Amino acid sequence: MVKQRPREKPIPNRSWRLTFKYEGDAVTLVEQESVAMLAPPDDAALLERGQAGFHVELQDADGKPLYRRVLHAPIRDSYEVFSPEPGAAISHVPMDRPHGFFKVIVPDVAGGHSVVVVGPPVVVGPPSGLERAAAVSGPIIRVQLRGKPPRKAEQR
Amino acid sequence: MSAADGVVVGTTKLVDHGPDSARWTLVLLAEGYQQAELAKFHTDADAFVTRLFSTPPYTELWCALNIYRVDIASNGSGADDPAACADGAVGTGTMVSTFFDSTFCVAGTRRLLAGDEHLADTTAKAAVPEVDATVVIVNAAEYGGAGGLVAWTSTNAAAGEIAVHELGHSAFALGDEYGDTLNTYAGAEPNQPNLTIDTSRATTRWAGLIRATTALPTMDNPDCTTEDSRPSPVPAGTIGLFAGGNRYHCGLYHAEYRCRMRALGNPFCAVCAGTIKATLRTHLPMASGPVRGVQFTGTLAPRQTHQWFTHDWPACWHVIWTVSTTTPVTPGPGIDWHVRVERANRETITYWIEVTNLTSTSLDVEARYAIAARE
Repeated sequence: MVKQRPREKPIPNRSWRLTFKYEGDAVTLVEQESVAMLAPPDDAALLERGQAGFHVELQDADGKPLYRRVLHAPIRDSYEVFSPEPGAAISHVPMDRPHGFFKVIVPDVAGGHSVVVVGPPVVVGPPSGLERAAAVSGPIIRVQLRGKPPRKAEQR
Repeated sequence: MSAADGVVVGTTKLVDHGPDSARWTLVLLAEGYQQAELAKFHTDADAFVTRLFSTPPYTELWCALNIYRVDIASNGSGADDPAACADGAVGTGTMVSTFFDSTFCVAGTRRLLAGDEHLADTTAKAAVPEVDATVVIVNAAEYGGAGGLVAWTSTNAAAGEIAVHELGHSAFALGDEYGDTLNTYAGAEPNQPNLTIDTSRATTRWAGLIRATTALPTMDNPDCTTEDSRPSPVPAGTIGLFAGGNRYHCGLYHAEYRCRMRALGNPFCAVCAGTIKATLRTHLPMASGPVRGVQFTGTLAPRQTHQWFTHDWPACWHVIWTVSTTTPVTPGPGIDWHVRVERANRETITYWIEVTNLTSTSLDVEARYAIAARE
């Protein structure tokens, strides 16, 4: 087999990974990490036409979005239940109250100042949050990025 | 905390396509395997890797992935399986001490199998800091699994589908394409890539994939209080607008009658596959090549045909072969050659190169490769 291996082009790949906890209607930041990994592609095109649902934004100091990514139901009020039968219907069972964790990854780009999770309001107690998918989205939690390490050339 | 009920033994890279910082990195965690059962976890983890490799579009973008296995030895074997579950199902009543404290019968539903998702996430991050997604494989033959911060699956042969579906949610933001308890959606356009309220042929989200002859909506639901169980009115693979999504029976549309985000056991529809590809594509290796060289040389007697082979070439590499004669031949062609390709396994290719001397004199030949790209 050939001994030579092509070299990969260096590209910047530093991101912020933020882990959140939700309990009832309270959402709190658990951890903020600087990680050497690629953030998922920007979903600006999806979000230009789709308003309902969750997404995360990286904003500059003026609140201008620098990056946006759609999130699927990061705050869950139910569990998805499956069947071993191929093609069988999938259903949901409700949680007593929303609780759990979710995380987001945003690129570490120049000017990045805050991370905002946007979505429909968290509904606690009956009626359940089932209709949440149709509700108007707004900021759920805003986190100011802190402790940015010095930027340096990254090679992958 | 249940981490006291076991220990992290080690981490093994099962699929290696380069640096984790550039690839889409999946971590498989062992749950409910005792030390002596870790060899079984290795087999179960490999089975999941094989499942993912055979699931389009992961197959064609395989070179974008790295996959790790984290061996965790639990004190007990399996998962908690309460004897009585609120859904009426009867479990074995087994209670075991395992690292992630996983249990069947979450929320009173026996098929819901999950454990401490935060511990699973922190364990995966500690083992592989650049982890993109985590699947916990629970050493239990009973069907079960769940989604969330991480995906959970038992070792039941059908349960791996749960994790593949849940990765569609957590890693690629795909919405559910079915209805279960909600009737008619009346909200704004969803931001999920595989759902829409827009029934206009010109503007609907995946308009470019819909043939002019396909009716829109392609399949509406005549009874919005229940899921539509009728067969598809169009051939399989037709892209259009089919009612159902985000748990609503009506008002939201998905792209194909069948899709893994609608029911397990189906392939991903074209729209979901395209969404997954769009994310994974950014993780593909990029070469600064080409890298060139001569793989072998030889001598062919007059009119002789000979076949060489060269093995263990990474399947991710785009390799261009050329065979040339180093003996001057004129006028007319000196050799003819063909390349045959054997995909030896998930990761490597064997090239079979057959060369024919077309002349009446001996010829020296060399096989040259050019690695154009690593993807």
